Amino acid sequence: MLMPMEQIVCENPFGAGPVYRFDQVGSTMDTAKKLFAGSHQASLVVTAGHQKTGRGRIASRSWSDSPGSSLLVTVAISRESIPCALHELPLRTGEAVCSLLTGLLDEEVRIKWPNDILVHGRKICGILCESTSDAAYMGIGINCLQREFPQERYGTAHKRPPTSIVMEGGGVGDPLDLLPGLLSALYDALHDEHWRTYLQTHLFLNGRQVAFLPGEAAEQRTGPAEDEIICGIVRGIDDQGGLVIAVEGTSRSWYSGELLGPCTHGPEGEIHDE
Amino acid sequence: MTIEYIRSLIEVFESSSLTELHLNDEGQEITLKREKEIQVLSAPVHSAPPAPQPIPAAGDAAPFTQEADTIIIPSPIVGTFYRTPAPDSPPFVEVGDTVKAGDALCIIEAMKMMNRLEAEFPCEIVAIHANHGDLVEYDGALIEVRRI
Repeated sequence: MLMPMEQIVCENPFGAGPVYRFDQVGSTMDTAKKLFAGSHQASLVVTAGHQKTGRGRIASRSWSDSPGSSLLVTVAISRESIPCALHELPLRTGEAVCSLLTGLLDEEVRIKWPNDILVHGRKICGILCESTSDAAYMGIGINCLQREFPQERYGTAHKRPPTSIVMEGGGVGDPLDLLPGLLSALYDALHDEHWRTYLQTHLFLNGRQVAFLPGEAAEQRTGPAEDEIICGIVRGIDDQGGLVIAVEGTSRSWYSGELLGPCTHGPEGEIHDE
Repeated sequence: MTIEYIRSLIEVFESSSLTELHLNDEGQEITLKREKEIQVLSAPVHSAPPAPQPIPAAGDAAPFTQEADTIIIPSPIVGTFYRTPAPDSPPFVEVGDTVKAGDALCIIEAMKMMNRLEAEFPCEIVAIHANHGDLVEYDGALIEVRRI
């Protein structure tokens, strides 16, 4: 029986900071922020068996998990210890998770710009990064042991339900077993000189026509406003990590917004899943 | 050396870039010299102080003129400016508020990374130069504060 919180033995490549394991937290992000404040550590890691109020980027989309079925982690790194540009962290964290899962699964793992990891177009991992004046926080939630995500509960008209490592044929006992490999992969990705190349080759829907909802609209609306959706072809990412979308031959980089998925225009201009 | 010859020499000299020409023709000498041109690059007539220039805001907000004793907090990255921590939450700060070091001022989101900007010193919020949801440029003016 685990205690409500314990410091576990796990190599943390980011300055050998402590790794804390909780049975249950509100969110690993909030807990990491509280523990890091005033800790004078270069880094620390918080993982939990269950989080009650796990946050997605959009407040209305909380991250839900069944206790013990997911790897839920937040890695805190002091600002002076971050080896790359701050805005690159979500993409580089995506590289780390993609690399980890590629080693576990026989399936193609893709990075959906900028912070979801998909297998067969189904989300297997969500990433949420935040920064304050003293630290950056990389929150990672990987579905591991779940055996189903019913469409009627988790899917939407435009999205398929999530998936997990087990559902994709991967073998994993305790999600916590993946933590050392994840931290090692994260360290490598944050130091990877060729991170953009990795992203380009693992980018979901690269070269395909997509629906994209730009800017803050995704933050403020519970559903997309169809008249603001851009349909264009993904042309990779630029040197700042922005998503490049070509519309009628003109390419533009986007730094905020949401990639809704593949699309085609129907006869009345509506958007369909391909 | 006839007068016509001398005139033709002067024409050639004036059309050239030479500054001096000395000619000795069987005992008859002539020297042509050109004073250096002085080019006036600028000649300020008035010494009035320069007027304050409007500063472009980081996003879609109108250009503004900075007050004399204030400090502009710029955007550290290209991204979307948020005044609130969540859509249904009140703004971090309003004009006229005073904040202490470490208090949150706003969020800049880029590639879904939420970067919280915090006050580095105690200050009063003088003006907010971007609208909630604006796409802001690197180094663009976000918030104008006065140190207290």
